[in-house]
Amino acid sequence: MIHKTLCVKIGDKTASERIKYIAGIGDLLLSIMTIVLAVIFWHTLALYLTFTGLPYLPTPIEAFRAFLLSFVERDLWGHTIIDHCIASLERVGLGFAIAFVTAVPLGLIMGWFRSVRVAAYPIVEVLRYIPPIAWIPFSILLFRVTLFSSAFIVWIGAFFPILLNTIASTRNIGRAQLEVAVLMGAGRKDLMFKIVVPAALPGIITGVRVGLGVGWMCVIAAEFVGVPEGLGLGYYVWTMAAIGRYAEMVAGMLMIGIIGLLMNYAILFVERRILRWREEVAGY
Amino acid sequence: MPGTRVKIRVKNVSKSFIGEFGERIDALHNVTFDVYENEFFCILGPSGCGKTTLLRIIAGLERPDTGYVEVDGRRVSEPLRRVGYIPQDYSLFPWRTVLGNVEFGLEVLGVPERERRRIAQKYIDLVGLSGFERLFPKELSGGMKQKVAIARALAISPVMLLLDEPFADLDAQTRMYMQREILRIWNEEQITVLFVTHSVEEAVFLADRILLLTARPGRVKKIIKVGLERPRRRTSEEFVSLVSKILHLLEEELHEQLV
Repeated sequence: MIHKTLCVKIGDKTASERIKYIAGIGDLLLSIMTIVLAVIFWHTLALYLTFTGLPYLPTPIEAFRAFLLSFVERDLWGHTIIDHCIASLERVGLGFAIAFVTAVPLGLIMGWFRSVRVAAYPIVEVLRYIPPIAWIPFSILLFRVTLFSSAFIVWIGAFFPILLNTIASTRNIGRAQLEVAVLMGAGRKDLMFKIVVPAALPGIITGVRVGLGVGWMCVIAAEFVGVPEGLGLGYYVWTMAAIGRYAEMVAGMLMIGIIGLLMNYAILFVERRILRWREEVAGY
Repeated sequence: MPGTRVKIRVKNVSKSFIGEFGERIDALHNVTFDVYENEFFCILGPSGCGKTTLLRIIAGLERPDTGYVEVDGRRVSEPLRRVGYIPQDYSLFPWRTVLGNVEFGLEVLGVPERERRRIAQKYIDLVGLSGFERLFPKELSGGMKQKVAIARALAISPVMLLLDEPFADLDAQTRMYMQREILRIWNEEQITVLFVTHSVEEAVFLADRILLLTARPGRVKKIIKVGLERPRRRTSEEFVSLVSKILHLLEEELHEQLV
């Protein structure tokens, strides 16, 4: 009885459902409002700069127009923005894949064996404070300007977030869980693949998400310095700026942001599916 | 019902630890007792008396400083195998479903999938969790988690069950219910159970015999045979008088500790 009176029905929804729904709409309106305000601010600033003759900034409308056109218009080398995206994604994909297959096993081993961790820490600690961008000259010396020179930078950038998150989550595994497993008869291999790996998975995925974000930044930076065949979003932004096509430059920047966002959401989506068992899954 | 064959022999076991400030903490001192096959054996004592340490030594998770433990006549020198161990926090595997948790032990023992499923289902039914197979531990209540831990432990046909204050975090009703359940399961499975608790009432309700440990360092204060017929009634005169007798012994301990 009390239960029924507490759950006041509004329409076909209970009160709490209704409140959640309204809150959802409120959040959405709030987000849209921020975007609108930001665009208005951008537009005002662009107009102001145009009138005062200070540095040129394309208006949101110009940028948006350039963004749409960049899908069909070919640049000086005959490429659309899609070609540039594909080239950048290829580089980031290769670099990230190598980072994943190197950092995860190494992180598991370093997290699991104290001696390996102690032995490897000095090297990790020295290397991880060298920004990936600082590796660009080295990478070009090593690989010349190729797919591999950019992928190498992505690898450096993505490697450490994945490695460190994997180590941390491996070290956090509950001792009692391992003991229960051992007493039931689990061997070393069982412990590794049936306890350590799944228990470390949330940390690994966090590392993957951060690593992919860093990798994406790295590929753009690497493309500023040089690309094969005149392809790559970073290269696109840089050359558009150089030839004074600022609307296209901003369009390229928008594209970089959108792809980064989509990659993050893709990982979050995968995370929600794989880690259904977890109490909470990271939001933003 | 308990047999006459000795299942676990604990002989002159002592254990001390080095504390935070480098001081020596004596956890157990010269503990000796036997547990018989299929016996329900409770280890009872004030908190900090080394009950958990004793259980861990028996399981081979820790080594005694002196003395030894034998299980089925064999010296324990490394973690035992095929033992159902339920630590205080249950330690379920949160990434596995109820079914996955119960199947774990069978998986590592190499039982083929179909057989695994059948056995796991049997124990899920036994503890009364049918219909919850696909849920993850986070979706379960404390009592249900406890049942999963019991099913997981039983599924491997363990040589014995080691339970460390398994019902400590449950509310009073669930606790009483689980106590009846564990007795029912023990009856059906014919298995040696070592049950650590700090609750006198729980020990008297469950045990064939109770090992009463002194305050730190834990020594054998007394081994009490609970001669009451099962099912035991917590309100019966014999039950209450045994509980108060043991409480009396414990109070002595507490007094000595304080003086």
